[in-house]
Amino acid sequence: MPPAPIAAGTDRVLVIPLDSERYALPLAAVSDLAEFGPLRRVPLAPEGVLGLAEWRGRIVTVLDLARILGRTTAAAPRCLVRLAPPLDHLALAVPSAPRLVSVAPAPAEDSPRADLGDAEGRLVLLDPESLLAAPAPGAFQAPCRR
Amino acid sequence: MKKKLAASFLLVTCLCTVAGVVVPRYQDDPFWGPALIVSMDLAIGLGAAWLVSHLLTRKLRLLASAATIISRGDLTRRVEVGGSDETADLARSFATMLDSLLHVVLEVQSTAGRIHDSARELSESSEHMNAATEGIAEAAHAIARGAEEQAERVAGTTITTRELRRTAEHVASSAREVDASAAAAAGKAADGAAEARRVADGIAALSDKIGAAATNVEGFRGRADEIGKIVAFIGSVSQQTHILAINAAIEAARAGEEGRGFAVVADEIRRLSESVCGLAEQISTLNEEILRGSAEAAHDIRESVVAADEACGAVDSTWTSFEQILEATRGTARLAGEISKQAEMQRLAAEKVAESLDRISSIARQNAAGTVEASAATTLQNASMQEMTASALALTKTSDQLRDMIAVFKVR
Repeated sequence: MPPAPIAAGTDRVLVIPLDSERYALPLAAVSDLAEFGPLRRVPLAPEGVLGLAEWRGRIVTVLDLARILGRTTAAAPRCLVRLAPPLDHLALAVPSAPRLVSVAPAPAEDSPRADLGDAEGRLVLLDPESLLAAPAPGAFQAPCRR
Repeated sequence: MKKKLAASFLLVTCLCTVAGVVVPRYQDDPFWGPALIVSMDLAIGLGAAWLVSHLLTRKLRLLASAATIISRGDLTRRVEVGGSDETADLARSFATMLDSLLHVVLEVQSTAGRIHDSARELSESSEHMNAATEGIAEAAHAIARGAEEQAERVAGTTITTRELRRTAEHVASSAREVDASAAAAAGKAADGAAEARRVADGIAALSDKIGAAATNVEGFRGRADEIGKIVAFIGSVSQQTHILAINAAIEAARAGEEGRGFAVVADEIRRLSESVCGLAEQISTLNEEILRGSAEAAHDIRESVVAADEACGAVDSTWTSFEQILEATRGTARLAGEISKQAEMQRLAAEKVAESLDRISSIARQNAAGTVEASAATTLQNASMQEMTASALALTKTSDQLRDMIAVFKVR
C-alpha cells in the first residue's frame, strides 16, 4: 500500500535516527512497534536479514534498516518497527524507539527517499516498498556457500 | 922492632968504628983522613937508615895498601902479616877492626833493608789508613749531617706533637661539647618520640574515621546502584509506554475521525512517556555521575586510608627512629665521655712524648755537635795520617839512600 499523502502541518511520521542522519517513516506505513527481543537466526540469510521473531502469535522477518540503507552503525537494535500490510510480515530493527513528529512538505513519488523537515532539522522520508525494491548493494544478497 | 933498631945501630956503630980504625992507616992526611971517615960514616949511616926503614915500612905498606882497598869499600880484603912485632900487632888489630867493620856493615845493610821494607809497609799502611781515615771523615760528615737532620726532624716532630697535644685538648673540649649536645639531643629525641606517639595515635583515629567514611561511601554506592537499577526499570517502562503510545497513535490514525480523541490521549501518554524517559535519562546520568563521584570518592578515601596507614606507619617509624635516636644519642654521649677521657689521656701522652722528644732533640743536637767534633778530629787525624804517610815515604827514601850508601861496601 503506498504511503498516505502527507499534508503540511498534519501528517505525522516516525523519526528514526541512524548515526548523523534522521530518517522518517510515514505513520501509515507502520503497523506497530515492539521492543527488540530474542531472534531466531536464519542460516545462509542475507546480511540485511537479522532473523525471525515472534510477534503476537505471528512470525515476522526482522530486517536491518541500517544495512538496507547501506549505513554502518555500531548501535545495537533496541526497537522493532513492523510495517503495515501488505508488508506486515516484515519488521525493521532500529537502534532506538522512533519518535512521532509532524512534518511539512510532501515527498517525491518516484524516489524511496525524499527530504522533509521538522523543528529539529532535515529528515529523509522512507518509502518501505521502494526501499525494499532497491536496497543498498549486498543487503539482500545471499552469502556464498562453502 | 926495638931489637932490629938496636942491631942496626950496633952494626952502624961497628962499621963506623971500623972505618975510623981502618981509614987512618991508609990516609994519614989530617984533612982527608977525617973527611973520609966522616963520609964513610955518613954513607954507612944512610945505608943503614935506608935498609932499616925499608925493612920497617914493608908491613906498613901492606897495611896501607889493604887500607886503601878497604877505603874503596871492599871489606873482603884480608890482611895477613906474620911476626910478632908492632906492625904485626897493628895488622892483627887492623884485621880485627876490619872484621868488626864488616860485621857492622852487614848489620847496617840488613837493618837498612828491614827499615826499607818497614818504611814501605808503613807507607802503604799509611796510605790505607789515610784512605780509611778519609772514609771515616766522610762518614763522620754524613753522620754529622744526619745528626743535624735528625735534630731538625725531631724538632719538627716535637712541634707536631705539641700540635697533637693542642688537637687532643681541642678534641677533649669538643667531646665535652658533644656530650652536652648529645644530652640535649636526647631530651629533644624523647620529646619527639612522645610527640610522634601522640601524632601516631591521632593519625590512627583519623584513619578509623576515614575507614568509616569509606564504608559509608561504599554504602552510598550500593544505594546509587539500586537507584540506577530503578531508573533503568523506569526507563524501560517509559520506553514501553512510549512504544505503546506510538502504537496507540497508529491505531488512532487508522481509526480516522473516531480515533481522534484516542489519538490525543495517545499523544499525551507518548509525551508523558517521553518526559519520563528524559527524566529517567537525566536521573540515570546524574546517578552515573554520582556513581563515578562516589567511586572516585571511595577510591580517594581508600587512598586516604592507605595514606593514613602509611602516615601512621611513617609516624611509627619516626617514633622508632626517635627511640633509636634517643638510644644512639645516649650512646653518643657515652662515647663522647669516653672520647673526652681518651683525649685527656692522649693529651697527657702527647705531653710526655713532647718532653721525650725535647730530650731526644737535645741528645740529637749533642750528638750532632759531637759528630762535628769527631769529624774535625777525623780531619785532623787525616792530616796527621797524610803527614805520617809523607814521613813514611821520606823514611823509605832515606832507607833507600842508606842502602845505596851501604851498597858501596863489598862484603861478599
